[in-house]
Amino acid sequence: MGGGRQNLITALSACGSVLIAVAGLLVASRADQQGARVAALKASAKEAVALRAIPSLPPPRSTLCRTSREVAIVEVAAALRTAGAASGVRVERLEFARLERSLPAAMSGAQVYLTASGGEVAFTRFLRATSEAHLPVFLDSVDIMRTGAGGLQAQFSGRVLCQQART
Amino acid sequence: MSVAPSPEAFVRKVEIPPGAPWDQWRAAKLEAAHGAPLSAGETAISIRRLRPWAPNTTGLFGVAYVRSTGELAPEVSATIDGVAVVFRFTSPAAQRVTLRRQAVTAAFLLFAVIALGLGTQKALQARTANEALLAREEVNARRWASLGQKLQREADERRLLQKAGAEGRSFADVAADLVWLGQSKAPSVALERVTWAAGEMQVLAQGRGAPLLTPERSLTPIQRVAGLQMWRIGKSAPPVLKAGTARPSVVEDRPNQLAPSARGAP
Repeated sequence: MGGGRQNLITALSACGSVLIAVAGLLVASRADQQGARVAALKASAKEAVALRAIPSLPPPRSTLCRTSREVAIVEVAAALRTAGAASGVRVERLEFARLERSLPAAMSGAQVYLTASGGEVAFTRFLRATSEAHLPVFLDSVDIMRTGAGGLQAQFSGRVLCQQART
Repeated sequence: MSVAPSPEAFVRKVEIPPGAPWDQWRAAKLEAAHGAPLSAGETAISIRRLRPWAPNTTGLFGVAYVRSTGELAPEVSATIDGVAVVFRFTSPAAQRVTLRRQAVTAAFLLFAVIALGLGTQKALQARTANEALLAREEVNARRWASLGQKLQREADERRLLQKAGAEGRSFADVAADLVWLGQSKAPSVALERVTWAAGEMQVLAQGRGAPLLTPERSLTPIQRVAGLQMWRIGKSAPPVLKAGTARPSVVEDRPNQLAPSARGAP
């Protein structure tokens, strides 16, 4: 009787020890995982602190496009014509040409010329529409003159710029 | 299959039908008590299993009886089936001591089990809370990282725009300058022509006096053209920007509303 009970107790103790060891390993494993996550979070926190040193600048009113220059030209042309039609401005001339000025290596672009005419209200709408479209067009000069009978004619000269290396 | 007579005790062998080990033990105890040669108060009984338990096998037990009225011998040896078996007897006082010791041990074990259970529960609670906190902080960290990448992209793009000499030359900049001009124009003056170049404007004005009411920008007369005065209007002052602007510690996840592509990439 005594020997059997002793064996049973020994077996139960062994099982209990194994269970406790497995549970301990599981807890330790989870603790390791949480430790790794906490370390990653600390790294992120350092980045976040570094981030605070970045000047808070207003977003640019137009940003560089991320497509190829050819795609950008097609889309800018369509956007300008759409804005002109929607605002009542008549697009008389819209041309794109090879860029005459040099650009940084990571950029490509094309020259754009636009001549349009219309009333003051129409031009106001046109400028609002093109502003809100955030087109990747950067103007070098704008010349607006009266044409008589309250009409205006404007000549825009600028560049379509893309953040993509020249191909 | 024989029991050698012992001078100190009455020994006999008991066979119990196959069953669970504890059932066999209980049956052996009942059989030993039932077959006692004296009444229960006068006899001390010791039972030993003679062969290990096995399923579907008859249990074999040895039972020894001694008189409990006098001094108990702690051990009694007997020979059953040619094998020497030692039976142990304990006096009631020793049994009480053993019981007390077992009770104390059981209490300590119970306490240890309860402590272990409570500790495990507490650890699980802490782990769950940590998981929730970590998950929340990870989401926040991802948003910070996303915000950082966005700011970095904007800073890179701003540098590129500066290198290309394209800053402040969007349609929005032109529109803002023209709106300002419209609001600042003197009512007695009519503008016949406006030329804008990188924030600097030249206006051809008809009328008397300066074409602007506000002194925000520099105003310089250039020349007269066909009876009209050409003026140069300086650029607006650049905004004052401060580095290290405080940002919220929790970054809100806002969907980007601007589509990429030929629209300026947001």
